[in-house]
Amino acid sequence: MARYIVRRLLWAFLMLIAVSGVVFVLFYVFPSADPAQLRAGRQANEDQIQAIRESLGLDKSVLEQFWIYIKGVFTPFDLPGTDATGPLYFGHSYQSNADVKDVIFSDLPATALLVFGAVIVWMAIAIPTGIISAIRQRSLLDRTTMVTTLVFISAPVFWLGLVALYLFAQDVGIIPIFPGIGSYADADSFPAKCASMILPWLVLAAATAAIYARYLRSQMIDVMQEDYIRTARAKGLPERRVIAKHVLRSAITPIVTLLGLDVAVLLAGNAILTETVFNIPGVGAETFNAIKRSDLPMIQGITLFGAFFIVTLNLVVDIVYAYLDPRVRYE
Amino acid sequence: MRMKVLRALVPGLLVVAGLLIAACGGSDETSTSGTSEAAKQYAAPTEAPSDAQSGGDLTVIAASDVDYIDPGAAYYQFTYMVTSATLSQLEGYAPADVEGPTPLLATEAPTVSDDGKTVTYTINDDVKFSPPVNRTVTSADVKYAIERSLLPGVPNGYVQTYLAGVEGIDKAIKEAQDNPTGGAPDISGITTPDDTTLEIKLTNTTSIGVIGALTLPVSAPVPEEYAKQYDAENPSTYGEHQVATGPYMIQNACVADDGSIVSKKCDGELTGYTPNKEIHLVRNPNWGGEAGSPPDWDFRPAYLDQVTIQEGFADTVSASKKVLSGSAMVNGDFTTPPSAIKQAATSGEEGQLTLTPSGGNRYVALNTQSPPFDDINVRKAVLANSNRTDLRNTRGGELTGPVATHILPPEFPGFEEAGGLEGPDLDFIQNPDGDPELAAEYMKKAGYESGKCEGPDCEITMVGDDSPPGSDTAAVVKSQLEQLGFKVNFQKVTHDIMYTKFCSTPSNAPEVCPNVGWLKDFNDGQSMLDPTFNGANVVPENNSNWAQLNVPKINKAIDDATLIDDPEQRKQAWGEVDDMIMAEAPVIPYIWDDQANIQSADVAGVVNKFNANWDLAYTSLKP
Amino acid sequence: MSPAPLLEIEDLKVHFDTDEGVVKAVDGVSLAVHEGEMLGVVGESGSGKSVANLTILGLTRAANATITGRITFEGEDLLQIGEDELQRIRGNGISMIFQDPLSALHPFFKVGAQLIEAIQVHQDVSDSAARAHAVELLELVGIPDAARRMGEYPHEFSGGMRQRVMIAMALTNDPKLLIADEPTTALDVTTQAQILRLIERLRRELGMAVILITHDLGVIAEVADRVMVMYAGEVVESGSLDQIFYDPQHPYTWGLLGSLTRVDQPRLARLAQIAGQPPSLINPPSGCHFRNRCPHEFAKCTEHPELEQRGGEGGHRDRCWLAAERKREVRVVASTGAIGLEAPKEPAP
Repeated sequence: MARYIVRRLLWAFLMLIAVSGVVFVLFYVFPSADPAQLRAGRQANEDQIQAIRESLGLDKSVLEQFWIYIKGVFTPFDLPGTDATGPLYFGHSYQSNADVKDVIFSDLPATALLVFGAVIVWMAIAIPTGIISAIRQRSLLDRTTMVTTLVFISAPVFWLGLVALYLFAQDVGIIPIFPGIGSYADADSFPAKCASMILPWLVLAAATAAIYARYLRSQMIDVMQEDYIRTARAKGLPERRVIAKHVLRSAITPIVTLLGLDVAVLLAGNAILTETVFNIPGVGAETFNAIKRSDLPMIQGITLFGAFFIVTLNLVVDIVYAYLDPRVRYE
Repeated sequence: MRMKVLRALVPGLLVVAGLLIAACGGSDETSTSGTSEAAKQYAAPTEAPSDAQSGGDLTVIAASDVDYIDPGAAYYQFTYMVTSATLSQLEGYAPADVEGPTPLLATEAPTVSDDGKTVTYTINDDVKFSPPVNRTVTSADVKYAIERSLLPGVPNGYVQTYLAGVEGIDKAIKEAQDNPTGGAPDISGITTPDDTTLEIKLTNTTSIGVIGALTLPVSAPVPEEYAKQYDAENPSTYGEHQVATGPYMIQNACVADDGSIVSKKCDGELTGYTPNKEIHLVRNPNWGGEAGSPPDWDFRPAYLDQVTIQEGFADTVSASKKVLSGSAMVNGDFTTPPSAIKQAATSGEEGQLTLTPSGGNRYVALNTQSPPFDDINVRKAVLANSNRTDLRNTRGGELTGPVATHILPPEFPGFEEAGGLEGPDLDFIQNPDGDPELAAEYMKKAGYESGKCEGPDCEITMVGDDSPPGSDTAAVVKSQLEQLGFKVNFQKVTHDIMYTKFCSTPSNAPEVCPNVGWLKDFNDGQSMLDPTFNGANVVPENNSNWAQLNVPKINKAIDDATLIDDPEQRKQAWGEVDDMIMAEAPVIPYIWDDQANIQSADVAGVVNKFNANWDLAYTSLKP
Repeated sequence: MSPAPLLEIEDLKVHFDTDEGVVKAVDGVSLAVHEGEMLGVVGESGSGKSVANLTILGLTRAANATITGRITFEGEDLLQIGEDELQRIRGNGISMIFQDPLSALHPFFKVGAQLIEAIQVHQDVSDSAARAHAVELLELVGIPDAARRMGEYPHEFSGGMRQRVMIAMALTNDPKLLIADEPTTALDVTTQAQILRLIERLRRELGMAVILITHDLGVIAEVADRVMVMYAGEVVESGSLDQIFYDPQHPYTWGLLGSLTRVDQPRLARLAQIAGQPPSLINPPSGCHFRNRCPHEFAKCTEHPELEQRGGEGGHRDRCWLAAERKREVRVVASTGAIGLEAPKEPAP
């Protein structure tokens, strides 16, 4: 197991370098706005733009820029021209000049609260719904939940977000019961921050809860056909215990994999729509700003952090999976 | 100032939000009227009510961050909203100032020597920097502020244009570029004979441009002994450590929320600024006045105790609703979207919606250097055929501004001289709804017998926005061009890419740029017409003359007008330049934007006409 | 007069309502098992033998199932009692073991835990007592190093060992009746014999009754007291082991036995010897359900035969219309090696 983890970590390291490379390539190959011109202002002349290009290091070849970046992120060596040194030096934002790492760390709490809260909400919805639908197949309840589920899966998150806002937000809603847009920034205590997250949680969780419920339902239905469930019943176990222990234990295992990846992807800034609709100052909102302003260091930094989360959580999921499913062993 | 008023962010967001509002709000009736009646009806107050109340906290709801927190680089309407409350330039703008600025740090308007080549300011001797600097401002602080703006680490977008006539500036620019971290270069033409005198020597008579540029934040004093350590970095970090001279300051560790001094000395790093998230303004304890009663040298009453600018409201429809239904809020950087304007106009309380001419225009640029638009008759045909009302309506209809007939915007010096709302006496601009017959005539004059464009030249490329409303405008432009027989290849990219990679790079410029426009820097025709239509200003990159118009007599007229230092003559001259440009039909101007600003019902907001946005130092909360 | 049977099933019908129609999985089965007795139930898959036995424990109760008849166990009608009472009997009075011991054990729980759970669900004993009992049971079924193997997962056991675990689990609460549903099918031949011997030994030592369900008469031959042959949801022949083996009355039984005589052929080939497919349980042939596969079909076969003593004697009953002497003639053909079922159809007498 230890050898497996070490090997995986080495791969992760190489993958992160590759991801940085891909972002560089994408940024230069696909049309993006010229950061130097954006920064210089509309009346700046060629020399000014050139000076800015130099100060941002954009005059160097792509390969050289990439090398400097990689050196800053992954190695502890001094970087010529700056007094900031690696490792974990992600550069400064073209736009605000803020240290990318600091910005991302300052964004993480909001995103983490959003994502983990949403995870709790969607699991709290998905598990009972999935179980009930599975054991009461084709009942009215099952059909109703599955239709609702389809609606939520098909609804775009930003649409759902706006609908939620216009229905329930204290600032712009018809039935003003939950804190509205931008309330996270106003909240100064943890309970207040949680309250500000109620609508975003529900919105972010809605579609995922629906997907998980459906997935859990189909998993449970599969598991209930298993011989060992018949064995459990034949042993004389109460049905409740058969479902809660024997069926759920098997049905939930693949969901752990799903959950790990979903959490990673959301932490990586994929809550972008929810964050922008509700103005939650998290990684997603930062991504939105960075892309809008062609802020390469920010985009690069967020992507790397995202890749890091995904790689790490993937590894965690694999390890957890080995504990959940004793048949799995990594060499 | 940059035309960077944030439009269309997430296309989907806005479309959906729009649909939602449309569904709730009934049909969208648009008017074809070309007047600015709406602007009159919703004119913004330019002075505080007589019973204005002191105290209270205001929240500004914004979509994005300021362009630069550094006052030396600030070049954006929304940023000016902040700097006009925290800084004291040599001259500033009171809310009603249209014709010219009002002295602020300077005791009076600058004197210009008889030869027009020396500009002298006398500055107040009782203005103090906010903590941790705390000392009295001298003329040297203004000199330093201007000099540091030449540093590559302080990306100022206008100083080198307007101050090009200042003695020794070329040398200073070179010095700064050769040694970006060597500190601000000395500009030999700017001298400080004593602590209250600032003298600027020019090599030509461009004093009006210089004086105009020095009404902008670059002339707000910066203490060299404090700032130089930050200016030695590239980019400079003075912005994150700036000190204030206005009634407000961006909070730092020296000052508490209520504006009281915690400590006279602190490291000066702003605690009240988080990029893309928040700017927190508190009262500047060294300002010298009280809420509602400014010190003798200042004209800003500054009623509010604190202002919090909250950023990141990407969906401007819900942000607008929040402002309209909330308390103690105003909009910040975004123009209120049409659906919210409608809501404010119909169901809001009186005064919640204000419309102010923004001092900007939007137009469709035709590339005059490339066939088929190198033929003036083809251009005239395109203008004649264009239904500019339709184009204007893509931005939200009548409440968003009148249909433009020329370049200089309403209430701007030279606007009336250029023909006012009616526009210049040119047949192809007369009918805002388009005149297909006239267009056909011009096409025939251009040699297209059928009245429609035919042949390989008629296959043209257009690069425009990929999100509404810009993409809507572009789509209408495309169909109008197709009516004349053009085959239009419409490439959609983001607004920034459209500018930096295509329309502002002549070597890569398409035949048509449908989503360009210009906002004044200050109230002088030079800032509207010189960068955009002077053939001498066509540059390989960052070009703003999108039509690439290069007509010698217009170039000369612009250069001449720049040197006129009598305001009346100057107005006349720019009005004429405007008409000369329109006679060349290089662009289809279709709107002079009115900026729609909104406020919560309990805010007594005052709009600064110069900036077309809320003036934080005049706005108060209703008693 | 023999004592009342431990388990008595009377006219059991289990019908499933499906989209395609009513599946008559079990259609009027009666049987009785006495204490300590081993009953063999034989039939092809789909003959209803497993369903009938699962129904005993209420494991076929579903929204679309219609179950009628009577299942009396120790004086209680299992079809009338509720789920709670059934749970009390399951794994306690009556235990089951299944065909595939790998899929029948939960893959995510340790063997010990599954055993202990089975003990504690019926007995209020401490964890350590349950554990000790579980180890004992594993030793009883012949698993070496039982204490250590308690901590292993099912996939760490071989097939035979797993089936031993299943048996141990079935024995946890000293059941009166063990239902073994194809317990050896998934195992190799050597292991099959070991498991059968184990079941036989435990039956003798513990004195429990066993219902051994199989498609393979050979399995039964070693151990059963009485045999029931099922076809298409019905019992087609029942009698003592000797009666079935030495005086089989039903052509289907001949087929099953015929396959036994051909030990020189591979097992699969032997199984394939009954021509045709098992009938649809939704719409079985009218009359004798076997007639479409039966080489001896004649006019009478369109009538449905009752299970009654015909050619046999001493409680030996069957559902074949053929006259006793005719059966003996035809059966001779079968025993000569030209298997009865392959004989040409005969004209109706």
